[in-house]
Amino acid sequence: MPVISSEIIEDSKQADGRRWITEKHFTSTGQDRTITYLAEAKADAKSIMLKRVSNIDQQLIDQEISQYINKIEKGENVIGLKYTETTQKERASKFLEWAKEKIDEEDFNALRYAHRVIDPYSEKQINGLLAETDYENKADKVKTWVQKIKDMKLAMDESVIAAEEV
Amino acid sequence: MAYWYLYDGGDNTNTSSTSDPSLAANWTNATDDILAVIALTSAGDIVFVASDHTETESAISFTLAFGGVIGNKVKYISVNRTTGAVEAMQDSTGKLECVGRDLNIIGYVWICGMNFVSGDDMYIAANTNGHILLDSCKLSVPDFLYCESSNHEIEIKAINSDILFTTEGTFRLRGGILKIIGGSISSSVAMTATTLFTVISEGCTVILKNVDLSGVYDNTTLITAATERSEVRLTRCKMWAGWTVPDMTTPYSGDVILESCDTGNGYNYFLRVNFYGRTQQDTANHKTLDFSAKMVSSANAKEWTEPLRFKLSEFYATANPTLTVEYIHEAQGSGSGGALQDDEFWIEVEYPDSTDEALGKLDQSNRASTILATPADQDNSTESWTENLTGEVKQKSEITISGGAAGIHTVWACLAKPSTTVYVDPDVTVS
Repeated sequence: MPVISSEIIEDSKQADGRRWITEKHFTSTGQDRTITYLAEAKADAKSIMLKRVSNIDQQLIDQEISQYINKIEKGENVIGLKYTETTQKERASKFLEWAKEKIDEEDFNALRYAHRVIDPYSEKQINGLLAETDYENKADKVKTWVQKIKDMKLAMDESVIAAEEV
Repeated sequence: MAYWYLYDGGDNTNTSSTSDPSLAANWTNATDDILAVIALTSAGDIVFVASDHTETESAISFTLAFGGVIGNKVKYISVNRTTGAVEAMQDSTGKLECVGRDLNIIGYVWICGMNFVSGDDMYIAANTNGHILLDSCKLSVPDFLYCESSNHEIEIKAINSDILFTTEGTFRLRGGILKIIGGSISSSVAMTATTLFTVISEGCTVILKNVDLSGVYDNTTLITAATERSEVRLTRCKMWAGWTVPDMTTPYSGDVILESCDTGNGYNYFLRVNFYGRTQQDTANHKTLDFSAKMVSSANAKEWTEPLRFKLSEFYATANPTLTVEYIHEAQGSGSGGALQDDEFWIEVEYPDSTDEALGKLDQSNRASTILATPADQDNSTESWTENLTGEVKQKSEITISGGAAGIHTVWACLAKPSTTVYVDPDVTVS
């Protein structure tokens, strides 16, 4: 749900010359995000707003991914995964099995992103699951694990993968 | 209570030593490894750390599980080995560094003056109960600094400590309470997440007071537009260039409150953001004070029932005062000539009750009597304003307390009309 349009809805000059700026960003799903800041007197508010769009896109993805991760951690179902397993170990194994079939290439940015998103959980939640004694191998698996979540989200967005195919 | 010494020049005889850190013998017998010291200590023990102690670890997962208990913590104190005086570690003279790996700090501990350098992420009280108190410490983190616990039973308090994100890091918060008082937070490059505080699932409480944030990378957002519970309050903090605060998108995402926060030596602006809108200091439209409270309600505000509330003033008053609040707007109301009506804007007063002074009461008599009552215009005003508005309407709201007692009175402005802007004079008139 990327940002599709943005506008400045407030540019209010203050007594010391600085300005309260309020931006409003609209996403493809109809949601909006409002951001307020105090700009220097000569700040180019429009340029700042445009630069911010990519950051907001990234935050929106972070937020969405975190929701998937939370669901998986809590043992809740995620679209595309139909858990019948009862333990986290079983679910993680199932997930990895599924991921192995779906993912065949590494994208550096994606890995970097995955590392950033998942690391806190992976270290604690999956340490004992992956049975890897080598840290780097383990880290790679963790990164892959999250990459699958990201790919799954994209797949759902594009309606490419039906739940039955998983 | 026992005393222990940590110094990389010690002989590891691990002798339980005296309480005088200026005695050379104590340092001769010191332990040179922090994990060994942790294994030796019991709740209530004191560990003196040489301010020039340098220790490098490269374990896969380096965890410092300090062994105190919640009511009797272990204390780690960085001192000068010669004088015995308390002295913080410095990068050039002392540090505890975990190379290329995460550094985990858990348990119940008070640490003074130590310098922790993580090679990757740093976890403080992560996924466990804990109470971590840091005084005059320094934390260097290249990636993320996690303060998280799914069971909420953690508090991390850093006093006069410096936190430096050296590459792309940010705070990730999950449960618990993070308090930072004094000291600084800085980031030498852009944060990947573009936010200083990222809130995860269980939410968090963040309190920053007197913290120098001017070193945070330009245009970083203070906090994610959380859908999770979060309470974030910054007081007297120096902000970074281009700081931003997003609107809160759910009622349980809590408040983001900045009080007397500014990038420079200006007006020390305030800003409060929650589900119902935002209130910010405005110096372009005001009465005799050089600022007003600019209230901007979101679409979530609803007439009579769900206002954007802002505490205008809190003060001592004798019993049963009359309290008047002035405000101005660009004909934003539904009343005559664009006047705000009493289901759209009103004031509320909390006051001590005359029969039971321990019990406060809330006077909402300035609001329409019931949700079904026909709204009436709030009073017009002829007070003078410095303003730059178009088609301005000046109004006032007044309450005379009855049945009250002398004591602290709190006055709230309530803006319940959605997507509306009103400038309110915080200088409440008491008569």
